[in-house]
Amino acid sequence: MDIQLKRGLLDVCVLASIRGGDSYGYKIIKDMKPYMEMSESTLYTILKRLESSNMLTVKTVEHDGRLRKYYHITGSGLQRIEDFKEEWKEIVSIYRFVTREDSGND
Amino acid sequence: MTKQEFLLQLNRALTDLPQEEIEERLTFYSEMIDDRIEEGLSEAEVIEGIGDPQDVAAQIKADFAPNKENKEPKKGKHKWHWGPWEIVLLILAAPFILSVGSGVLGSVISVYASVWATIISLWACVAALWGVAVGGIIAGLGMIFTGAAIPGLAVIALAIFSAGFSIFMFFAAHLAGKWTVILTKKFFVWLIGKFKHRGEE
Repeated sequence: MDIQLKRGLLDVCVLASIRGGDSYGYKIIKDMKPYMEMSESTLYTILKRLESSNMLTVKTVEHDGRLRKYYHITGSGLQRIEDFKEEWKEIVSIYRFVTREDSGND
Repeated sequence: MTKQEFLLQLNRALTDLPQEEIEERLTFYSEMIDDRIEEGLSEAEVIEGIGDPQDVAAQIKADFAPNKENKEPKKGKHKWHWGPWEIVLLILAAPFILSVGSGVLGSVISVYASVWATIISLWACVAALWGVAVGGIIAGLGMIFTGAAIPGLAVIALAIFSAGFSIFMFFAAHLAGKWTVILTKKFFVWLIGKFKHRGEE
């Protein structure tokens, strides 16, 4: 898959995984597992990117005598998901166009 | 492999990265491992699932390199865009900004003026010391000729001291003036450079 497209997809997936409530690293990976496999280092990079673009905020919470980072979606993060849905419609229409050309050439 | 061993090996393999980055990564993996153990997996199983620390380190380094490139041009992107709200705010705040701005500008100018006033007074001191020197010598000589030799000599000694002191003052005033001119020039070159830079953007 195109690297830019994939990066955008992964960002939106991570945002979607914290949309329903704050979540932490391992839970994000676990929740996404049925849909896509993601390595820890990939997740780390995405979380960093989303944090620096203010799409999520990080909060360190004590859990069972140790620290755990919780990720909270911001307004821009929610907006990003909405934008993605719109963009996806465009992609689908482009896909239809591309496949129609294919069948036309057959 | 235990969690400690994994983190230690990962730490060693990441030494090229900035310390802050290493610490953040280690904290991240430590949390991940603890969360998996909490799920009921054994420590060894968890570590095996995450993979070889060397492979993980290689992956992190590969991720970090393009990450860094992405961050660099961002600094340049921090250009200010005048949106409608900023303009409205600016207009509303104008009386305040103008009064504070003129106050700040006024005090900067007065500080600068006082620097020059100090330099001018240094030169005035030099002139006064020379006046004392010349006048003292003439008066001292006059006193010697009119018979008051010892007070006359004392006055001449004072005059010579004053002349010597004026040489020090001369250099002090000269240096202070020179540096003020140099710094002023530098400031204007910097200011003009800033404006030119703005124009190019």
